[in-house]
Amino acid sequence: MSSTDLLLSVRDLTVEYSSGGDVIYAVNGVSFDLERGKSLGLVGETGAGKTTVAKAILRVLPMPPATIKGGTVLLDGEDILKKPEDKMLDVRGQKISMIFQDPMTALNPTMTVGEQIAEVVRLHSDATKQEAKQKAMQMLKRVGIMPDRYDNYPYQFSGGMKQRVVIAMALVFKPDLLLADEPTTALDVTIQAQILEMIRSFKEKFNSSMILITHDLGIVAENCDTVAVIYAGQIVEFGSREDLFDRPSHPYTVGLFRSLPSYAVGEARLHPIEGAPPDPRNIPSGCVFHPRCPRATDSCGSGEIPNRELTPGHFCRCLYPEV
Amino acid sequence: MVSNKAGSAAATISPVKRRKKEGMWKQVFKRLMKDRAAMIGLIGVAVIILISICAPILTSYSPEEMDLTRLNSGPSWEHPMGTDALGRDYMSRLFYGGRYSLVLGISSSFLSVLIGIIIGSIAGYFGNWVDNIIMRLCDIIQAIPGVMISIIISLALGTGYWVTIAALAIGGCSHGIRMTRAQVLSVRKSEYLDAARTVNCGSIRIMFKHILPNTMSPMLLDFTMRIANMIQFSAGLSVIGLGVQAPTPEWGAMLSAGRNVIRTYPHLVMFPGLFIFAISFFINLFGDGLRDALDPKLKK
Repeated sequence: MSSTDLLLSVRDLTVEYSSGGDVIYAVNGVSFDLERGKSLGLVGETGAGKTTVAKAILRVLPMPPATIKGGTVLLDGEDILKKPEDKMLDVRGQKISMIFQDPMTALNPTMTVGEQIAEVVRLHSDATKQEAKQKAMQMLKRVGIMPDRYDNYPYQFSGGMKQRVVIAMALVFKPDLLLADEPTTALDVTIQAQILEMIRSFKEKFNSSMILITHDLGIVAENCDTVAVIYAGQIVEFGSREDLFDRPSHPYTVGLFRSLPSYAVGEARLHPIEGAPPDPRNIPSGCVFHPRCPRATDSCGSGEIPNRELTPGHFCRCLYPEV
Repeated sequence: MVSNKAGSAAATISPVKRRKKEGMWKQVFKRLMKDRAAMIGLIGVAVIILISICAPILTSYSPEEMDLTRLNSGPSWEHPMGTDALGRDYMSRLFYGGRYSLVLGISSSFLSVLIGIIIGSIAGYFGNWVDNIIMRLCDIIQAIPGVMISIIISLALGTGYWVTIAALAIGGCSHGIRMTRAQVLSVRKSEYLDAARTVNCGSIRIMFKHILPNTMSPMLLDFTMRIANMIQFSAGLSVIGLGVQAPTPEWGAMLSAGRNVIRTYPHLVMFPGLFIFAISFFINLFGDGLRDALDPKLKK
């Protein structure tokens, strides 16, 4: 297979949560493609629906309250959302695996770290206990932890080491797609760099694709080939890293970059985006961003906003994109 | 010379020092060992258990052996704790009775917690209507006092040793159900369960490997603290003529048999009372220590 073939194709993914009679529109028609070996940055504020997209791809959303209302998730041309539950074994943990945000809570405190890696091995192969243990030790070594710490419990590890264990669990079967849900948010800056470097090197080694969920634009700039900016459950801008960083077009993306702290002389205040993200129970009609948008006109408030292709591969869901 | 020294130092610190597996239970045990009160409790319980096991060695009378010349006699050299209304040696009855009382306390407490864990975790894990039905049934059970339920069950199933155990267990299970359910609910949102799901871990495995071990410590505490309660409850049942019946030398039953003659032969009530007090005291002492050891943050 060439290194640029399509691995994942998400079309019109729509997820809703129901909560006490209210419907929460978490993900509203998200579409994107991801090629093998590439990484996509999913950027957005808290509650924009980033994690929901990732969990929907793996079909591990708690149902109820969540329901996948529609859309397709094609992995190697096969729709994961239509797969029967008992056929998900080769997807979850094998073709797709996930790294979680908070390593402090992503490991079971009552099992040793080694057992937790070995459990993944045993669930997906008919390895014996001994073989699984060998494999787990090997994985520990790969992520830079002495294999003799197999019998340690998570509380005996630091945050960075726990995240390494989580990565080891995710990488046992050399996944085609790695879902990294804010893998470094809970870690300090030095460890962040180490962990990202490690993820990147494994990704290159296994030629895996990655969806990196984050709200840190710096991490995106360093790690992603393409970027999707997600706002209120919609991708408002999608393009290559260069497109997004050099020519941000959607007013929301522009606002995100403007709100980054600047160290220029005379800069006294930050420039936040006015207003607050919309209530996901009550998504604005028309453009989801128009109530906060400095460029909005009357026509932004109603109707379907077309997803325009500004330059090849650079999409923007805006009537008046900045050029 | 210097390099030699460094070399020997490196040799003594072995490079592959295998780290010890130090799980939660081991830590709990360590903390428990440091707690003097808990250790006194544990030793007390151990002594009572030993006395019951070694009853044939410690006493020279059989608990059924009647001496009709000495009915209701007070403590003496031959019978340190006196004899009962049928002239049986009271001390040997109490020592043998420990077996019945302890087994009754432990097994009914265990059974009750076990029912609680099974039903409670089903309610907590599956949620929705399953949870609703189980919780409403629990409401019904809890609306009636636990002793009342045990009485009703004893009345329906009759009296006897094992029936009493079942009655006590069922009467007390709703608390365990609620507690397990609450524990499971609090663990259910944990990210490591999400993580387990993303590697296609099945429901049953998630339940037993990932949820239950993380809900165990309050249940263990509940089990311990309940043992003494169950022994007291069974004494209560005996008082109203239910529960364990007279020929069985069970402490509660002996206490209630002696209560009619408490003014004339107080030793018949005093000694079983003392034993019940002792076992409750030691178990609770141990239980308090166990609670602190399981969750050191609770300790003031």
